[in-house]
Amino acid sequence: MSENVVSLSGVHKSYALGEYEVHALRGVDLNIAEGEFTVIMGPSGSGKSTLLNLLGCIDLPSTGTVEICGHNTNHRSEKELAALRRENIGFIFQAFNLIPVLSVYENVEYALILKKVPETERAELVDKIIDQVGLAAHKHHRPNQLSGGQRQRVAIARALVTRPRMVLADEPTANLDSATGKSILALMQEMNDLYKTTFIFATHDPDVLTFARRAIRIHDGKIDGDEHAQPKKKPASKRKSK
Amino acid sequence: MKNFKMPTSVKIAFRNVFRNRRRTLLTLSSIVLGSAAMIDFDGYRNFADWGLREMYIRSQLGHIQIYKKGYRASKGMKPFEYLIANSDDIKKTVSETLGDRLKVVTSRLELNGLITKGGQSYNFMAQGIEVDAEKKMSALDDGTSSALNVRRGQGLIGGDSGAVLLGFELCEALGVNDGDLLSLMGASVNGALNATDLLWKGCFSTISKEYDKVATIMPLADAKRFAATEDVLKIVVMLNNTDMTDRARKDLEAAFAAKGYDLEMVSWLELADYYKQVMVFLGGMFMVIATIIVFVVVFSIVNTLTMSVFERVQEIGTIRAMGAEGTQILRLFIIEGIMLGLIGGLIGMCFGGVVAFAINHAKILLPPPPGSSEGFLLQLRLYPSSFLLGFSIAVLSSFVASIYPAMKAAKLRVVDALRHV
Repeated sequence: MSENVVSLSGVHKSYALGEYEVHALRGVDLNIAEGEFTVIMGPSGSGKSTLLNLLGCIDLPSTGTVEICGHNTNHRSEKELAALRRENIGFIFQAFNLIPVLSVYENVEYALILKKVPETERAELVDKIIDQVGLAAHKHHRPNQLSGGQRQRVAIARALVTRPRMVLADEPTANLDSATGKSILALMQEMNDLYKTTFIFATHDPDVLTFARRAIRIHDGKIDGDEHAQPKKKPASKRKSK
Repeated sequence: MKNFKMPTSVKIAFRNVFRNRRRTLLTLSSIVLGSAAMIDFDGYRNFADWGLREMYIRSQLGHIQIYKKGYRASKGMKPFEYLIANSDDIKKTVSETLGDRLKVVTSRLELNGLITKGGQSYNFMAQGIEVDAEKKMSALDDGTSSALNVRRGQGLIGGDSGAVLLGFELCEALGVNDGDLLSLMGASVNGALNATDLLWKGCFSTISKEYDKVATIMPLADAKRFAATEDVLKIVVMLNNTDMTDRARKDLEAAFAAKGYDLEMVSWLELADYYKQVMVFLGGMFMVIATIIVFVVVFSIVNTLTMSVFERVQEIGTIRAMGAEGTQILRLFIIEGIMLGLIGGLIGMCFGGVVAFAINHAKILLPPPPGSSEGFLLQLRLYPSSFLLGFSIAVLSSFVASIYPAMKAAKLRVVDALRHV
């Protein structure tokens, strides 16, 4: 049986919004095993982004425990959390969040630089992943010279190049047209197969479900559904970048 | 040779500097102007320092003055009690000790009294000088002009006897003209009243208007005759370079001690009170200007970098999410600030140099400073230290200015930064 990369127990998260206290998560228990391709679904305000933030160690629970790759995130310093993210987690964002002054190659390489990977090793890893996401011809381009789909491919390459145990994707297809979105999801699925990296998406795009092997539904800060299934379809990821 | 590869943090900082070109240009212009202003003001200060110092040294003080021991303590009240009898021997010792560091060594005798023309009498303070030696002393380095500015008349020439030069203000007061004989009256060394008639040969001005009201110069032989002595009051040493003064003085002290001479020495700096006051004043002004410039540069960079942080909140959040620590973000923005300073400082050095060149060639005549009788040509003397100063101010201010925005960026909460739109 695969080891859990995510283990949440009795997690509550609340924060102040003006004079009100918002209870974003209300007692979440969740385990996600290594290599899963999981989607967290729910309407806006359901708590899925808050959950993703806790999984990404960029926020801490109000109560309860969050264990990421065997490390309890409670009572950890900013520095320790940064190290935890650097070593174990890759991020893919809705707005791609590439560094505009760096080229495709440099954006991907930056994740390795933060991890202090030696330069020769970096070049090999970056070239390989850029080739795998189909952007070899664009590696010296800046983000503003790429389409939305190409930018998200760069983000995928950046998230995966450090060989993290888990990749978190917050609405990765929301800024893409449907066809490009599907090709991005297919690419992530391919990477999941290739590297056995755990993928966790937060989305309300029903199309994502067709790729997911597990769907966790969240509503009003509570998990109200957890389905395991084989993906219904697995289209090729069209390496030709869109 | 291995290819140089710029560290990523430097690369990101460098590219971010030019991300918003218009804003960077505005920031750079304030750094460039600030740095250039510092460089040029330092050039002015250097010019004032050099000009005033050399004028004092060449027209009055020399680099080192040698007196009979006790003269300084007597505050010059009874100069004739402190006359030097063996001046030729001392000058020979000076010459042998200093060798090629010595430009000229000369003797002087000072007198006081009344000078009269027609019915008008004024106090005078006369210097009896060795004319040729003093001319050599007062010649400026380029050999074309003299620090002793003869404004009317032909001046003294070597071998002149029975002649006198008057300070410009004294000339004006007496209303002298070519061929005028002036009567000088004063005490000789033995206390007897003495008088002599001397032929007016010209008017000179120094940097001190007050001194020009009483100043008189005559050949040393006339002064000796007037005071009825063969001795001199002081021996003035002029070196080839002002920077040699301290070393030369030490060497002379050792030489005089070895010969058993009962002498004391004083360096030009101890006598140049006005010079010291002016330099303190200019130093104060320099500090005020430097402070204003630093404030402007710091404010400008804080403003630019704070806006840059605000625009890049999400980017900062992304980098932090990828595992960068707060200190790495801090470094990124500090490098950016320093880079602005480096670029601004480099351009500022060039700009400051060009402005100084233009000013030096524009022949701008400034009005006389307080207490002086003559205006002067504005010249900026830039030394390597001037450029280093302007450049350092630019870089250091930029560094200091970048700390606050960099800390602001480093302290952003990752989750808030990523949510920022």
